Amino acid sequence: MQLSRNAIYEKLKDILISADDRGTVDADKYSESSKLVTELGLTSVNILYMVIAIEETFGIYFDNVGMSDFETIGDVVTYIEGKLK
Amino acid sequence: MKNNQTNKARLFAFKNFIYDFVKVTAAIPTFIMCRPKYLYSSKEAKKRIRGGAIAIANHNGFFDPIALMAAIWYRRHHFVCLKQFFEGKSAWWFKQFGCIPIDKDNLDMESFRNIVSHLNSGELVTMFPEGHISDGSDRIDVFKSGVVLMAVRSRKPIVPVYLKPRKHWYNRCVFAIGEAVDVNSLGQKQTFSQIDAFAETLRDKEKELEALANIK
Repeated sequence: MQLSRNAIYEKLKDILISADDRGTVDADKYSESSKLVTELGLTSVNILYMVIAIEETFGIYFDNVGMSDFETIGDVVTYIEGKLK
Repeated sequence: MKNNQTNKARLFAFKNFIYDFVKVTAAIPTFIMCRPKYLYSSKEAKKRIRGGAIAIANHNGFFDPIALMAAIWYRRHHFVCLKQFFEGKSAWWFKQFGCIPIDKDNLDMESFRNIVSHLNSGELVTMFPEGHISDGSDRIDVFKSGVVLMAVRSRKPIVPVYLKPRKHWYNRCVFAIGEAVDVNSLGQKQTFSQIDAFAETLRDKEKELEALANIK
């Protein structure tokens, strides 16, 4: 599956927006530079949930990753991009 | 027939020898010391736990894993414990006891997949969702929601157990066991709030068991 960086970002944003119903972050505040923990307020469990959803959506398998491996949404997009190549 | 053979093979697997040997030899002294008292929230809770399941309990002290082994004595427990225990000389013992290492502050995919794999193989995974030993106030702290995610992913039930803190070493161990909680009500896709709310529901169940243990 060949997807542009922007398409990956949009799909990832959809995953996060549909899962994060806490209302702490506005949908238009999301950007590639948004920090997962400090800006979006995600916990390690939320990030794990995101990883599972990404695996199902993109059909990829994440290596051993934890909360500290991704700082921003852009880091996750880069990781997915690398896996899809 | 084939399924029976598989179960038999699993029951007598050599990898469990140390676990079973220690469990059998320690059983009589533990039961004499504990004189366990079992309380159940309902008739349904009395049913034995079959197949893959997650047992959760409050965490009063280092004796809790042994107490839980006495509470659900008929199953092998795979305790989820801090990855620091797997460093150094004690690592061998933790591995022999089928413990699963986890980083409580940074839940990673490897630990998560390991737990889900144990659950899908029909094993009992036991954990303390508070993530730490109680501060002595006997208050049940907020549950970490990772336990819900594990149950959702494996579609296995969660069995709450309350271990009543003992004031003196000679007091009886009181175990309050609740009904298995089904996570299927959460559906296929969950939101962060739903997962957190379910973790809070589990904590409420634990509080109900605490009340039951304190009445009797």
